[in-house]
Amino acid sequence: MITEGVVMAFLGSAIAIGLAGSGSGIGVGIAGMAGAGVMTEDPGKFGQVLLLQALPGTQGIYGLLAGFWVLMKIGIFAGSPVALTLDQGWQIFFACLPIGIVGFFSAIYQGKASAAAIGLIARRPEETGKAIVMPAMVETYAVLSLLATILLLNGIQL
Amino acid sequence: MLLKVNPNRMELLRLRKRLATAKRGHKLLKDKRDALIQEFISLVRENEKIREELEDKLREGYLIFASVSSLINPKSLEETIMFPKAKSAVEINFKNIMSVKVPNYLLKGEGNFYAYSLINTPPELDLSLKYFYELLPLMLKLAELDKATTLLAEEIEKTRRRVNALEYVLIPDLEETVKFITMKLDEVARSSISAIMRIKEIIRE
Amino acid sequence: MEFTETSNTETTYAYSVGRIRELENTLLNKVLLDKMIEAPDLVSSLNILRERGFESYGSEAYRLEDWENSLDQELLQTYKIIKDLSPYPFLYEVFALNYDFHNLKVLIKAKYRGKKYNTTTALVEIGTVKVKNLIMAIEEEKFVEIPVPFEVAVKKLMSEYNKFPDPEIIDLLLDKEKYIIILSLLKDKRAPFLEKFIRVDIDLNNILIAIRTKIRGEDKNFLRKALIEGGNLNLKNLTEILDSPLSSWNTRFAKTDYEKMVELGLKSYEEFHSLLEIERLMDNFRLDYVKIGKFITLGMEPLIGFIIAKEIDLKNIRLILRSKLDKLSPTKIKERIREAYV
Repeated sequence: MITEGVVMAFLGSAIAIGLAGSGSGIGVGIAGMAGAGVMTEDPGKFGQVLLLQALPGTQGIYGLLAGFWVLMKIGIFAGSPVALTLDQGWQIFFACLPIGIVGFFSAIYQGKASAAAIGLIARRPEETGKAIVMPAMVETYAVLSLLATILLLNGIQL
Repeated sequence: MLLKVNPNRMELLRLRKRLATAKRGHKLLKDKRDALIQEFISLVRENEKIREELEDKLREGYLIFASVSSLINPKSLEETIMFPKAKSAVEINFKNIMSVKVPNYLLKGEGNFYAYSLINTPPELDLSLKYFYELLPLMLKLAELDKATTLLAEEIEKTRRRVNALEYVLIPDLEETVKFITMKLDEVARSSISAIMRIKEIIRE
Repeated sequence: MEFTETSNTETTYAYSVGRIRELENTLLNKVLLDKMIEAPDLVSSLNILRERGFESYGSEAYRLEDWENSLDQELLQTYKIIKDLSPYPFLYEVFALNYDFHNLKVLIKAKYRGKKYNTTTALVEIGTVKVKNLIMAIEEEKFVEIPVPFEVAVKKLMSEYNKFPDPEIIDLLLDKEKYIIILSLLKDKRAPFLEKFIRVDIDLNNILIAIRTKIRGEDKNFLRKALIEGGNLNLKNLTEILDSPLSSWNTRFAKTDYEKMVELGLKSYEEFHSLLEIERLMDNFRLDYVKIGKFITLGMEPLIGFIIAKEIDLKNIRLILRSKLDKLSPTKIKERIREAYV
């Protein structure tokens, strides 16, 4: 049965997937532009560039994971959603915010860091390892927010 | 060599006069030659001094200009100096050294020689152009000295030829002719004396 | 070096900056410059350049014209790249305008100089306007193919010159017009970094103009005519200091960014009677200002840094090769060399 609570849960799921996903899109886009620039001059750096470009993409995956988690929890895939109360719906909605918001911003900044790291690789190809560490640090906070979202979701009693 | 003259007393008198004039001329010319040589030597010394000075300064100037042209694209350099404002002309006067007309160059520059952009041109260019501009009078001075020495050398050569002509040709010739005429006249005198003595003898018998 | 409010936020530059990062590998670093300076002669100096992969600087360039030619080619190539890379045309135009005005000056000077003057050796194929359009505008006075600001500048110059035919006017007037056009290009473009750079450039030029005027012994009137508007320094103050002796000038620039540069430059002038040092310090100042381009990923700074760095690179190469030709000692060359960007 579709209740107001279910609608709130949907909204939460949509925010987790949508915000984190668009953040990743922007981030990957920025890194991709920088990477294309480097490869215009030296196509041989494709491997390293690809790795760095993919880094901001993880937030989107985390968002998708959180969104699916919500949908599974409320039993959408089982066919009949649990009749959530409005309170429960709000709980799920707020549980989705960490990965949505943090995912969005961290992905963009990770994209910028990646672009900078791609610049670093262009200048010093031998430092690829270090170049990957920098944008990867941003990943920590996306992972933490995913963790927070999952813990919050687990804490909700249906 | 004997001159072709009639050995008579008139001629002898004339030749003697010429000989005296030639000897006096010879002495004068010799004095002139010595004075010219003295003047020439001092000019050559000055020339040498100025040439060395100029060469040193030019070398320095080229070094400054080389440092300018190593800082600017040749195309920009061409643009910079392709339309000069300064016009320069040289005025020539003559002065007299021992009756030789020697030129005297005077630089008549007008307009500022700085006529180019003050941005995107090496500032050292200003100093380099000024340096060369200040060298111009010295260069003219050297040209003046060069010309003067050449003219003097020619004059010395001419005078020496004249002195030699007098000393080795005209004066010996005259002296020889005078001697010849004197001898001839003496002989004539002697033969007339002997003729008179013979006539005297004939009359006495 | 300073950050401005648009530093690192403009994602439109991501591609350009990526390419610039790779292109920065074609800039010369200090180690390489030092090696070239220490090389025993011209040929080995050139070989060092080539062995390190800088084939673009001519392969058989052992003669002066040859390497000048390859330096020209390199400059042309750089501007082509910048034109490709600029997301907004103004970025390229601001720098290319210098060459437009170079061409304009060549053509106008050739025109007024009289007699047929062969301009082909002096014209440069860089600029916002095609050279043949400029030729048409100047020689036939048909202004349809050149932008309006150019037309205004040229017409202004022509009427001024007809009134008072002095070759110096060509330079003084066009230099001013150039900066007017550049600054108007930058209006409302949200490019604070570039605008600041242009103002710094104007300041540096103005300082040098004042110093040169003083050394030439010209009067305030001349200085007023030569100074360029749009900089940060007050032009009135700049004219005023003409009365005081050069040795006191550095105090006049106290509390500005230029104090140290003026002090060192003038000290060198007093000591060696040469303006090479202050010019070098100014080039370094410009380079220092754009060096932030190395640290910014999303913005125009790296592009600007690359243009300036490349121009200074070419200057350094020319300086080293010329000095090698003149057999200058390595210490002398090191005194004159500009800093390296990378």
